[in-house]
Amino acid sequence: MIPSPKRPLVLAVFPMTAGVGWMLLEGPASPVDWATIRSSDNATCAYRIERIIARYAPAVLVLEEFERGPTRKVDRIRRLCRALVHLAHTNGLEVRIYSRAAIRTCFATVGAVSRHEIAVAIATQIEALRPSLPPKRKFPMDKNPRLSLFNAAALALTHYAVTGDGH
Amino acid sequence: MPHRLPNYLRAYRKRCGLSQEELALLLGLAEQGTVSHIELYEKVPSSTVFVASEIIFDVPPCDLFPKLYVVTEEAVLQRAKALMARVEARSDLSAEAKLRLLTDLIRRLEGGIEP
Repeated sequence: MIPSPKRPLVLAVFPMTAGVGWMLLEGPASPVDWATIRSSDNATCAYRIERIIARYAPAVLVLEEFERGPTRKVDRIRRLCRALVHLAHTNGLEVRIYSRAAIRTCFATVGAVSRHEIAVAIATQIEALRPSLPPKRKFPMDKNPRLSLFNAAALALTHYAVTGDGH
Repeated sequence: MPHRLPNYLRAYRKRCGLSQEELALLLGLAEQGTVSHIELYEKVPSSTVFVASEIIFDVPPCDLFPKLYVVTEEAVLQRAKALMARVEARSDLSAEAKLRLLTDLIRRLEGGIEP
């Protein structure tokens, strides 16, 4: 019996004020582990991500653009993203950053534009995430922390689409 | 650096939406903590868990527990080589069949084991 071929692990992290979603994959259709860190404390979130890196030793960390562009990320999230980049470099991970426009371009091919439409497209592709799909947000509902998990998955799938590593 | 994880029990469990408690029930384990220890690579699965996991997820053991599989393969290879040396030194009636088995086994394992 020959084991399946080795593939580098990709860790996508999407911090939101409501929580930090993360997803670890071996390929676009091979999620290995995922969860949402429900904390608004940067030290706690960074520590949890550090433990994930120590446990799985991923090769790549994927984040959404947080310094430039039309992002509206709050200061705390920007500081957390900087800490994660530092953590990645310290542990020898390659860091890949994608803009929201890149994610939208990637999912436009399946007709998904909004965050919710993208989440629905992901739930269709990755069956394991289907039960976690949050309801469509209506004003003045707070952002659902589970959406951060789908945003992390969107980042990872964008990474695979851009690099072609999953094929 | 491409690599494989020691085991994929957590990945398959989560893909199927099972809790650790539910998987422990399916595996016949008294404690959910045992599933957690195996998932965290703190405990080597028993032969019952090894076989039951394959039955539950319909995934070959080399894909569910790659590290354990490779370690066991390597150990079998070393033992096969030792037995081969003993059999080659003898000339009883069953030696030919044994040598055929061991030659095939060693060729197969040396072709499959990764450095």
